[in-house]
Amino acid sequence: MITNATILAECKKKLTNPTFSITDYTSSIGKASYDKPYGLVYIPTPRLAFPTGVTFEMCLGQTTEAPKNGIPFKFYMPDDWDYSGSQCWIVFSGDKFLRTTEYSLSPISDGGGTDLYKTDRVITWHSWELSTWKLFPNLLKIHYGYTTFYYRIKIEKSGYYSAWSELSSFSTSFREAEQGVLGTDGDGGSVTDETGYMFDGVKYW
Amino acid sequence: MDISKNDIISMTVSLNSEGQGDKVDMILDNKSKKYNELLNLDVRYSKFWRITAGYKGTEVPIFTGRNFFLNIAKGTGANSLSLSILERNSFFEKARMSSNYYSNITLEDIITDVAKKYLGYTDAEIKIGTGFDTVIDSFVVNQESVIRKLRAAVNAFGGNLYNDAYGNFCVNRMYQTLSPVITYDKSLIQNYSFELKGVQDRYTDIEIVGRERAMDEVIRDDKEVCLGFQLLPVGLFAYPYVNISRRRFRNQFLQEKKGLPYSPEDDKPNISLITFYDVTQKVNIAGEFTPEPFTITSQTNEALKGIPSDVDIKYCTPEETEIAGKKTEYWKPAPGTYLVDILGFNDKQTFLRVRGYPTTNYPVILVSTYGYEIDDRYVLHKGIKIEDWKTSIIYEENKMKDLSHYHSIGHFEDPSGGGLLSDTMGAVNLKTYNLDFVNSDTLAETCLNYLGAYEYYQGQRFSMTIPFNPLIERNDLVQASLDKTVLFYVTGITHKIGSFCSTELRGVIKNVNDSPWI
Repeated sequence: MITNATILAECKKKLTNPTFSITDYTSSIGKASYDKPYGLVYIPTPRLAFPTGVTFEMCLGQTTEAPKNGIPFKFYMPDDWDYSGSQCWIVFSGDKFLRTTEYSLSPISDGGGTDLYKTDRVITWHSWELSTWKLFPNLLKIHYGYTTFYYRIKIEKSGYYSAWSELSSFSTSFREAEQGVLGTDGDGGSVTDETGYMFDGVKYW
Repeated sequence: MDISKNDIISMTVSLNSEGQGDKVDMILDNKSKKYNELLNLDVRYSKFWRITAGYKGTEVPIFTGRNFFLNIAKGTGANSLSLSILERNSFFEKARMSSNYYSNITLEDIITDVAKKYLGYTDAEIKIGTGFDTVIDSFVVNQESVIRKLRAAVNAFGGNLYNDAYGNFCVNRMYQTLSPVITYDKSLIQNYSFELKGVQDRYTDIEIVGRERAMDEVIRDDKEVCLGFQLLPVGLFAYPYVNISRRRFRNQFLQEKKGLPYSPEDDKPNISLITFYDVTQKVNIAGEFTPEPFTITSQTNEALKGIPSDVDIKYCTPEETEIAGKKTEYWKPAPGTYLVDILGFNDKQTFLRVRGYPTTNYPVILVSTYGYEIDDRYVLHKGIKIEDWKTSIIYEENKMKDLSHYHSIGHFEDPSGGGLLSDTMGAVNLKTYNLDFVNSDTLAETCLNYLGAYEYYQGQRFSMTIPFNPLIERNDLVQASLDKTVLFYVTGITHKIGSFCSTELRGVIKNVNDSPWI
């Protein structure tokens, strides 16, 4: 209850004669202007294209600790969106609820398709020596070691952000590396040494 | 531009935290078309208005809003405008959006950050009362209304969320008034009504379904067990013979032998190689022995799924198989040169890389994976099948939410005679709240209590119309002195301003036990 003795006394009468006013309060409260309905958010939300539901096969050598080149995250943006100067935030975790997360920031380039863009190749996976692994609590073991990775992305440009995309996931499996060319990378180049590459069944990435 | 109060033909201020948000509807006199500027789209979304009201030259705010829609009022030609001012975050009632993930911070901090980052409030405009300091381990707005998500969270902790007359973002405990009781005598109450739910209209049971239980939260009593094992004939070809066919027993055996050497003994469980006396070295096409420098293996969880925590390696070599003149194998813990990398794991298997074993004495490696087993209370057993020489449990993910999710359920009592209301009704009328930020059964029960009280209060509502009073706010406790006294918490307010000015108060009855409607 707002405290005001004068008003309280008057409003307890049977016949009242109130007064009221309406004033332009635009410059006195909150943000001075309201041109961005989400505050810092005005870039369109990216729509995920890759990887969604993909299982990667990691080709490992004796000492491979991380993928040789990681994976690019690909997404669609509206056709009038200018990607120059943009970066992409990626948050991922083996924990479905992202209670522990890793963030990666990557430049964006043309993804080679209509309104399709991609990040640099982002390393999402690491192996862990047993001695290190044993020190992790169970939550961290899931975060680092669970072979299904949950992720979503948002776009940053000139200090502004898009909203976060939907959540998606991809999986990893592992095998020993072999000699020989078994595929091409995402840009169509032949892969001659597969150690540490991530293979999604179609291309190396 | 300002709006002259002399041009306001009528105005209704509706403040109701339970509805679609607050708004003001007014009819403006626009004979001279001086308010046509308000039809400009840029003005619509940039203007911010405050309405004050009072008596004898003293006025207080009754509404502050920033977004508005308007149109030429139908039926009155171009002489009037119909204008609606909405509360500042009304757009977010229905707009879907996604927020950051919030981990392990209090609900109060989550509300503050969301209000500042996504709703545009300043620190000074955020007014959060006590009772919202519970730590939430995972909170995210995921393609849904941010304001409704916050409101659901606040309601679950016994609070309500609204914009006050000053446009502040307020979160306060319901049914805990911040002001002294405001009393109205019967002579001042223009009309009143009770709204009482019959037994047949009430929910008989309330259920809270929280966040799905994560894998690390359903382990069985935090005790490390052997999840699975594998013989890796990295230097020798051999076929593993296991003389205890039931897998759980083998795992128990390996669990006891973790880090310890052992040899098979008669009539005791052991794991041995069926063809050990005829071992052959692994050869390549050229006929030369080629020890592998490392091996990648996937170990299937033989019992239920689990989280791997440790790996134990034992090895035996042909040179060490003869003990006391008897041919047998002798398994020794692998020396420190044996290295294991954890590559990853999922529900069914663990991926390992084993390296560092010697290339000279051609060992056989026994790799055992240890970890924390998932509690099978959270797994729905479908049956048992015979598979070759063994039996195995068929199971799948449990879809029953009371086990797979944090959960609590409560049952209302029959207000007339005690006992379960569902027994009186002969049927269960269940209301389910899905609260994905609830991360324990205890918290689910806490929320159940608050939401149970909320549902209970909603069964006994009261409303009354009084002379215009701009001072009353939501959560205020008002006393209506009728033939019997009614105490009610205000949940909604409607001010009607025109040729006749009044205030309608709506709320839930506090003194239910007095049955003030009788």
